[in-house]
Amino acid sequence: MNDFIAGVGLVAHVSTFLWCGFGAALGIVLGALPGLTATMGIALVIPISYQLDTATGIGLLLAVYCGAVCGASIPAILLGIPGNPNAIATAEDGQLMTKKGLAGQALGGAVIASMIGGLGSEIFLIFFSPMVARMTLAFGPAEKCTLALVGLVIIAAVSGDDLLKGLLMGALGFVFAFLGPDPMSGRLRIPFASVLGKTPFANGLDMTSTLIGLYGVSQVFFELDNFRKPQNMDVCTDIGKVFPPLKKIASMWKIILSSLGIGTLIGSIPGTGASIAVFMSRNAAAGICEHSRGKLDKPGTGCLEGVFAPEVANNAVTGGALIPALSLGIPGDSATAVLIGALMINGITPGFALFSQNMPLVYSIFITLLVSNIFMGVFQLAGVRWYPKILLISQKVLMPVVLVLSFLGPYALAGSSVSKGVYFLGTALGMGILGYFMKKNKYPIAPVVLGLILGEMFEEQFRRGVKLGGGTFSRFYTSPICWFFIALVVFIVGSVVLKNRKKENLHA
Amino acid sequence: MPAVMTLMSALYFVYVLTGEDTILAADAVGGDPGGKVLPLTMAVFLFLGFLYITVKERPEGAQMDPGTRRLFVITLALSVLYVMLIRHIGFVILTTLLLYSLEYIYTSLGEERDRRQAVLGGAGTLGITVGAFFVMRMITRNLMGLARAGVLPGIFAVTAFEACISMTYVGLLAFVLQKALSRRFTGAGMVRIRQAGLLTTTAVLFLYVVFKQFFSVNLAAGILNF
Repeated sequence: MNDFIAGVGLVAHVSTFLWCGFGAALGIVLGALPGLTATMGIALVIPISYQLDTATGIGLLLAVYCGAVCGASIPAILLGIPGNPNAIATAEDGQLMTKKGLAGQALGGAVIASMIGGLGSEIFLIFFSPMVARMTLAFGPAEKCTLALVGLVIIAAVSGDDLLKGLLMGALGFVFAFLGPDPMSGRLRIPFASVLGKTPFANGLDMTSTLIGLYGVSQVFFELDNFRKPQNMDVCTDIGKVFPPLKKIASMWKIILSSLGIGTLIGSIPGTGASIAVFMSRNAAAGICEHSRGKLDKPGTGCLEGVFAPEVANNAVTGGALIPALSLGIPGDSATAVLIGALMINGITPGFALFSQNMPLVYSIFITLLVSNIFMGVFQLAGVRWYPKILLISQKVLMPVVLVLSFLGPYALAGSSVSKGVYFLGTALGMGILGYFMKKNKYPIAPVVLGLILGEMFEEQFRRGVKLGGGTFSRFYTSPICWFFIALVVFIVGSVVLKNRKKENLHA
Repeated sequence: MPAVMTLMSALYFVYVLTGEDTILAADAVGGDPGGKVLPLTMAVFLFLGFLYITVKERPEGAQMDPGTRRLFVITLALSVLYVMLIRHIGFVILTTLLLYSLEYIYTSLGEERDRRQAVLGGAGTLGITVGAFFVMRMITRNLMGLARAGVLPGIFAVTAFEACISMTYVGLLAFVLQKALSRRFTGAGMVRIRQAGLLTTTAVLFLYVVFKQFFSVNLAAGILNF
């Protein structure tokens, strides 16, 4: 109880609420604008979060995350184009409702569903994350090392169509991490150490600049290809009535509960992601509607049920994904990978240490997530009539601003040192170019980020594990937990290979 | 890309192999595998993986069209110049130039351009931004000075309050500029210049207030060091 009160004390400031509100609004806009993503939004606000106190900074990051997931439903409903893959299943019914003149109800329904999903999954997060974190008490260096490997393989497997490319990008992230000083001896490992050793590069690549470069700067270069394509200006401006009837919402309680369960469960399994959850929840909703004796409309016919099911699920994924992210440091998708990086930049290492040594901070994270979800709902409902205008903002106008923000972010992290800022700027630009070529050649970015985040820990724990085994790998092959993790890696790799083979056979 | 990465990973392998090992003398009998093991493993994996992709994958035919390539080169060149010059020229001037240039170039794609007008628009934007920046700094400095001297209430000496005043100033300035310029510049080309300029001035001043005044980030003063 004392920890909870201390946690409330950490966030009981007007500024925390204001930043959460700002984050939610920014997230909604980022989610709504095609081309801008939750991941990029989180990366861009890391420098701001770094300037704030820890609880407020994390609140800002979480608010952007929740807002962006919810905001993606706006273009899905009004344009039929999802802001990100999480809103794919919303697009069909949302667009059909818009065509029926029910755009307001679809938007309003999506917001209410998102709030239910976000808040509902948080209950699971509060209940399960300390339990999962407690499990890590049994982890030694060998287990931590293999756990890092599991995280990397999962993100490599789900980030793109090609597993090898994902794994290679994960290895590249590790290499970036290995450019930092040796974790055991502290000796410099950066190339041209006589020159670069006297610069901020001596400590390896700056994580924030790398994140911002890979997600922000690269996106600007990537969007250049789309500048000559015509922009969809056919946006519905007649929003109509916003709130769906309460009776209708109450009648969908079975759909809400099943979507909440599916979203939270799928979110908590690393590597599965919201795009799977939304379709599963939609299918489940279709089954429920079939047995409702005509009381509920079937998804796919332009009804609220088809908007509610995926929207509850995709926001429930946010709470679910935070369970392994906070308790184990394993991300479920690229957004949570960046979120883990952001937490580490803010001085928080996910895992049992966080839950055992800093429980007030954990409670503050839960509270800010709750506040963020509420702000997300309020802002999205309040701004319903402005969304068509937001969707009309051209990428050509937005991208220069994104570029400047991407440059300012790393610079801001350098604090009072201008020369350090210039190095960070250079890193962001270099990583932006690398990220552009990666995107162009269909190499996923998330594994690089996670490799960079986990690399140092992986190397340190690997060497400790070998050292404890007297120079052998005995610690790795005698631990059942390590075997479990290795089996998990084999299972993930095997299932992805099989899935890809099936796909190839279908195409053939 | 895979061919370049194959080469890079080979170079990285050689670099790690020829470098000093980072094993501690005290650890020599303790079983620490040293700081070379994992980098070498990764280098080998990257080399083999990228080599496989290079051999297996055919380079895709879809190349950048000349227009997009030109945009890419311009954006890259401006970005590199921004990174290299920010320390010397400063945040306000350089960000104004970068943002205006990109806004104008991007929004006028496929439209007829008057280069003279665009350059004049850029100069005007720079002038307005720098002028507005000076006024903003004068207001905040004088208010702070008066508060410290006891003429104004103490709250005026609080940085966050000063930042709020600056934010209000930026909002008002944007409103006034929008009203004043929208009457004068009405032609299609001029509208693009006006919009690029207005967005640039507002964004640069807004970012300055947020990062410098709210968060005390040392945005390079450059030649506007007063």
